[in-house]
Amino acid sequence: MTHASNDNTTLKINIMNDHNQEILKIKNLFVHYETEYGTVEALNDVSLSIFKGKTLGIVGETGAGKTTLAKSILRIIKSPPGRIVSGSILFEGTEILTMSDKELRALRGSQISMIFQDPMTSLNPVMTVGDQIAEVIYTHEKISKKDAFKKALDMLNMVGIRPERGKDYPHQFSGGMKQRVIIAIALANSSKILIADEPTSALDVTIQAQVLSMIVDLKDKIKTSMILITHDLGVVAQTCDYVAIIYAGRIVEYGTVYNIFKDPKHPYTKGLIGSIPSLVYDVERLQSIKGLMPDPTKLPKGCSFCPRCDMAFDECQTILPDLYNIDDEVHSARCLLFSPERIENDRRRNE
Amino acid sequence: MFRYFVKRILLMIPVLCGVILLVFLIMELSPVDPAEVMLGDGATPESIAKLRTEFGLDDPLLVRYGRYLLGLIQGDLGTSYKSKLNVAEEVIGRLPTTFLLAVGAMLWAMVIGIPLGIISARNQNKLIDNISMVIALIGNAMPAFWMGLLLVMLFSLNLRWLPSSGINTTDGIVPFLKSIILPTFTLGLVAMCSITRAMRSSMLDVINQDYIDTARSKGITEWWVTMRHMFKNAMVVFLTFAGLQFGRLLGGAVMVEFIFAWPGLGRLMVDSISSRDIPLVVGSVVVLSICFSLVNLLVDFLYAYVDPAIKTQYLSEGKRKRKISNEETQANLLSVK
Amino acid sequence: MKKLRRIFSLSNDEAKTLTERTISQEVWQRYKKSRTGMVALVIVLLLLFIAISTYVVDIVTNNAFYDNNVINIDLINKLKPPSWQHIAGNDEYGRDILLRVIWGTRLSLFLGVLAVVIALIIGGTLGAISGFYGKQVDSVIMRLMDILMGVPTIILAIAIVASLGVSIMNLVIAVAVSAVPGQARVMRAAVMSIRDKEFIEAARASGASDLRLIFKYILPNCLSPVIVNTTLGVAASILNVTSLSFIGLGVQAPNAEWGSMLSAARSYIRVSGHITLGPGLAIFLTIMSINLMGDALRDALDPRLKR
Repeated sequence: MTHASNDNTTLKINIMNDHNQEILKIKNLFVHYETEYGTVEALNDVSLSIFKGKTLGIVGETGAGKTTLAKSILRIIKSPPGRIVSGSILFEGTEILTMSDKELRALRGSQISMIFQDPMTSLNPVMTVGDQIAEVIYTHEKISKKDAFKKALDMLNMVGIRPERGKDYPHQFSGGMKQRVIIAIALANSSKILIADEPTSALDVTIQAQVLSMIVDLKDKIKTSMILITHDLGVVAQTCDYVAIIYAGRIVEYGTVYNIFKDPKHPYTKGLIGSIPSLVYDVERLQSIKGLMPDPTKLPKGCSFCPRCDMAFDECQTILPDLYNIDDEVHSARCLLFSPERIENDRRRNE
Repeated sequence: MFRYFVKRILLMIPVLCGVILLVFLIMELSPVDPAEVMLGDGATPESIAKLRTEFGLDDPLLVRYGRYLLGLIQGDLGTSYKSKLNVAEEVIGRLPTTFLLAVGAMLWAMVIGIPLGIISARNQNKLIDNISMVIALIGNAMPAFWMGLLLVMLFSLNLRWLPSSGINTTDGIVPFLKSIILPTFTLGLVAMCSITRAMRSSMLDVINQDYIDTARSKGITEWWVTMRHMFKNAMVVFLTFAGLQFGRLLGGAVMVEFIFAWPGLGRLMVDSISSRDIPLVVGSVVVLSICFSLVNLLVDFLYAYVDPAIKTQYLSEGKRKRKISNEETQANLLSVK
Repeated sequence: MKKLRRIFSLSNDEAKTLTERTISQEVWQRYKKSRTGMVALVIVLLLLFIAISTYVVDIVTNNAFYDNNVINIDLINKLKPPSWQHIAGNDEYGRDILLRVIWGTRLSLFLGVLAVVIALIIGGTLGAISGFYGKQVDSVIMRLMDILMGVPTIILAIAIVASLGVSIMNLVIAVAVSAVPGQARVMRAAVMSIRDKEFIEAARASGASDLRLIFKYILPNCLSPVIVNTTLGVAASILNVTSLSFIGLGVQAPNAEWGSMLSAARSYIRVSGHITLGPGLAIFLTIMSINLMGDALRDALDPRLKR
């Protein structure tokens, strides 16, 4: 099984968008969980970049490793059993994985913030929402608790909740409003990066759109970079600049939103996009990808998608593909179909 | 908040009346005639009958019960058969001593139990956790009267560090403290073990909650996370449990007072049983039960203060909570744009 | 299982996993996983065996053994420390402590169990009625339970014995009555949680009578919390029985019973502390084992609660 990191992609991106600053750089990240059933290889050789002011969408099925990725950035993975095995996460040039506790705490909530998936359980039941927002403010700013509380009320206003409700407790709010409180907490210190882990998945469909557009507006206002984790391709198309598709703990495709949707290359991505019901065409059956994601404690040798792939060939079972660049664009896929050798062979065959 | 208090107190009163009636009923079932006991062996039927009318023992139960209740409200619990002393005075006189014992025991239990429970939960399955759980299991199974004996054998007879009985209120602070250590510890041991386990259990429930992740992602210190987020939430469940413990302590106090010759209410009760002094027995049981109910009431109030769901329910007395309508939500969101 | 194998041509192992196991077998499988639970079970069974064998010995020797070794007075051996002949030593009357502890198992253990069983029958019935019918019936029964619980448990038991007089029967009555509200509450909670489930509605809709509903549908599903609570209740009961005996309100001399043995030992702790060890250790071991068994049962009956 070959394991080489591919710096080609990053290089190409830098050349293409050198007016974009790279604010977060994840390199060759491996994160494992030691459980009684074996070692769960949650993230394997993940490399990503987040650019200033841009949104990166991370798409994947449940269990693909999205939340693990998000939590690794802030290092809030539960330490037994989770373990960051190797890799590097550079924030504005500083290595997060070797930061001291103090430095890490200065980072959290103030430089990098996170919005969690389930608003119903993400707020402390015994603290008022105002206090919970104020908490993140006075932790990072030298102001009195009273002033922090006032600022918290301003934040409530910004997310569309009446400031008088700052003294109310979480159980007095609906799901959508709770999520807005969480967004207020995340953006209270105008963080440089906002990690949103499926921020609307647990909400009613009608509220989803509202909350999502609010996130995007606030993000533009404060000029935050965002990592948006979701399984909803529609959301990605609407809000993201770049997309990374994650499967079984590996990035299998990466590119600009345009490239990915216009011309998906990896069979998995094709399957995902193909399974979106069309507004235009009538179909008899919904397209789906056969099979299940592999057991993360027993990842197959070679490409992890191989068992489910219609286009698989012999080498797929034994060789783990790198992320190969497509057409010199900001677009790469982890599939042997696009390896330089194969493209060479195809070209020669056509001659 | 006030309405909540009043409601709870009003609920407590009929229960207490019921308890007193229960005690009466229990005493009623006794095959022994108190008049006979009072007069001793040489009693003639006539003198017994006379005594019975004198004490109103021939009146129907409900009449006697009603009389007792009236007396209770005025603070009169009757007169002891044997010593002819005022029951209320004797009983109330002994109450502080028993309370001292119970409070001391509770202090042991909480001062050791709560931190130990928190530490065990935060270090789940590590050595400290396993050790404290084993100790908790052992302590829970130790009968208080045996533990007391063992401690006396070790600390009083063998090492001669602490006295083996009684409470020393005359010789100054240090002897006083020495005399309360063993009894309070013995009584507190079982509570200590239960509290450790309960605290650990509530903490564990809380530790894996999502809002702890939210808290950490804010960049606050681990200590802050433990105390402000985990502990505050664990306390809510824990309080009811702790309150129950105190009630059990009042019962266990009887045993400990017996072993350590502690001049408290429990001892009085047991002594008056052997001398068949009904008013004293009834008086002790009634007062102990009232204290028990009051403690439970206190726990309910504490609980209301700590649990936001109850707090908010009663804080907005009369005011109906307005739910934000969908239109308002939309309007607010538009204003963000 | 053989049928499965034949019809579907399965291997032995495959057939085994598909075979339905009864719930009891499942629970037993899960219980076996707990090492402390198994040790505790062994100890409890041992205690039961010891208690029963004392009856056997008595019958076989026509009480002779009992008379000569358990309640005799042999002042030559008074307060002797442990020796090869008398492994736990001798008490204040020269009797062999170990033998007295063994005979004491009868009273301390069985009386505790008896009291809880009575409490379960009375309290369980009240709780089931209360939980099932709800509304006024529930209010009334729960008020009564509140009143019973208004007096701390041991104090209630003491008061009952104080009134009725000291005897073994009154001891059992007293401990049983003080245990009733606890059993009632747990049963009520269990019944209430099952009562509102849909399969009860379904059964009712197909015409099941109340009695049938209670006995065939609801109670079998309430077993888990009730069993656990009862087991732990036995431990509490035994503690109460021994405590009352310790104060002198329970089993009287010369009967062998752990609590009264400790009470007698108390006067001699200055000279011979060893006589407290036998009975004390017996109480401790019994309560500990039953508690551990109860914990293991709780984990086995509802693995979702396992931490």
